[in-house]
Amino acid sequence: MSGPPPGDIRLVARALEVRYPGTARAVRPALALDELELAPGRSVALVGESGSGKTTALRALLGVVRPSAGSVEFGGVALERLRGKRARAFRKAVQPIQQDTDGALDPRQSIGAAIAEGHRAGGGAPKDASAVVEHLLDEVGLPASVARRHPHEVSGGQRQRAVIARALAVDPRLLLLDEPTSGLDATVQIRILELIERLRVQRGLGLLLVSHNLGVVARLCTETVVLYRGEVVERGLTRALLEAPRHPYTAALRRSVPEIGVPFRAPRDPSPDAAEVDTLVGCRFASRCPHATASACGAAQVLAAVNGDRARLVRCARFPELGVLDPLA
Amino acid sequence: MNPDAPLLSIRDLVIEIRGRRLVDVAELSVDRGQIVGLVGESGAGKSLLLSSILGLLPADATVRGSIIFDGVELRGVSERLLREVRGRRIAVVLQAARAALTPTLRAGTWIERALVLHRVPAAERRSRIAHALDAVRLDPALLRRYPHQLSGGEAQRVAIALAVALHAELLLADEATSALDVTVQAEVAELFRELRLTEGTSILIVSHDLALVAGLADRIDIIADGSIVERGGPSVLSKPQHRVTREMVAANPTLERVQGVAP
Repeated sequence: MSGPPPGDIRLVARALEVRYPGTARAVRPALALDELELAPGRSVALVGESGSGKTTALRALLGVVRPSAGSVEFGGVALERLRGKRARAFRKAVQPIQQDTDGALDPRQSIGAAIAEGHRAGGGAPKDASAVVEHLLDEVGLPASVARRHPHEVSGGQRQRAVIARALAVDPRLLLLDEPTSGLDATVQIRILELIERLRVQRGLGLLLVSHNLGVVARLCTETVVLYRGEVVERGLTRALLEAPRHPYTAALRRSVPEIGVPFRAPRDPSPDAAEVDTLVGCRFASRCPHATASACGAAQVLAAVNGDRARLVRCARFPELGVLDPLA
Repeated sequence: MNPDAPLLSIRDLVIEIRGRRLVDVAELSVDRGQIVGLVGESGAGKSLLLSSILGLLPADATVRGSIIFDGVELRGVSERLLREVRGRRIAVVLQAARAALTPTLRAGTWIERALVLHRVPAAERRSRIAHALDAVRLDPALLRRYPHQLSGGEAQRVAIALAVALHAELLLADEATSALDVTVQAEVAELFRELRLTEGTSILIVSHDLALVAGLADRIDIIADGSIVERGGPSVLSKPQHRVTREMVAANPTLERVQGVAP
């Protein structure tokens, strides 16, 4: 078996399915993802609510959760078959940034020591460590004095910057971010988003962002995949999804984002037909959908291209007749 | 009581802990049937202010000033009198909805016990609970569940249902929607608006989410470093005067700055 071509650092999910142990075969998997490709320079968001499978997808892409069907490949090799040098290349190239910044750093280790550890783990020379720590702290906008601090001695925003600095110490090419700004004040959140955006451009990183906040997604990612209860319901360019959503759930998500200067938009009521749809077989969103009909939504829904564009997919039997949905109406 | 007087009126409230002045609010009021938003970032003093209304400040806090609820001064009243008000006439909905419920009690039992505690006559309990479930659009079957079997949004509805069943006049919502998914957040926000209309409940929403509060509240008070720095209707956010308000407005992730090319 030949190794991946040097520089092939694409992370690709194909026909990926994740089932957690103990779920019946008849039950649909916790996550089904037909295709997802992440590469340096690309920025993809996985959007959905609790239970949509977005964190499961991220864990499968990290190799922490094994697919029950399909595969995740790094440089053309399935993650579970990566060995030796290639396994190290994967762990160096792909770095996660977790939601829980408290848990991401060792409470007994100074932030400088944590970053130095990342530097050595990435194959850096120990003698360069202190210079690298200083440089990385500067790159993420932290004063050099933070190196001596422990995680509990800095604010939540500073801690997230430190976590990012430690991930960068390994010199990654792809960052997998799980709700990187939830729990932070808005003025802190915007600074972290600006930092991630700057790093993406300057370092040519690929980003996978897991978030339920469309405002955050719009800020960072050109492509968006919308998940609902383990299935992709719509995907395409972020701008297209926000401006012209085709799936009723995407429209509901868009509608739910509060915006300053726009009066509160009450959620739309489900259609009278919605209760009749068996969501174990048919559309999983039907019970909440304002457009559900018993006839169209009762059958299994397929992911179909919008206007023949394979980059723009929607899983809704009614999408051709519904047309572009106006989430603000 | 004078029906035109504010339901809640706070004057010259100063809270100090270990010599540090953490809250210094000259005036804050909630009129009957009004939704007021109190918005600030971490450490601004929002939760301390809320705790002081409920008489639940830490033991080492010193308080000066006046907190008048429905014409009665709450500061310095006996714990027994405070209990008449706290939880019953002034209800609280917290960010951690599930933690507000008792983990070993079914949701229905939890509501029932609270009604007993607040001496709601047995004959009234069932009809009050039925009305409350209807008001918060909660499936009665969910009352058989334990907190860990409820979603965050369902647990929040249970907590709000209790407030409705107790005929609470003022609802204090402390980051009540912050931990919820955006679509569920919108549902709970809609519920607040309905309660104001159908039950006449006054609501003080404490949050760091400026955009959410701006869409809901009749009036917004911006709090920073313990003091109200700006106040007005939702339109105040279109022309913010204070530096803190301007920063918060600017930091709000909008859907206008979108990555990528036009479709």
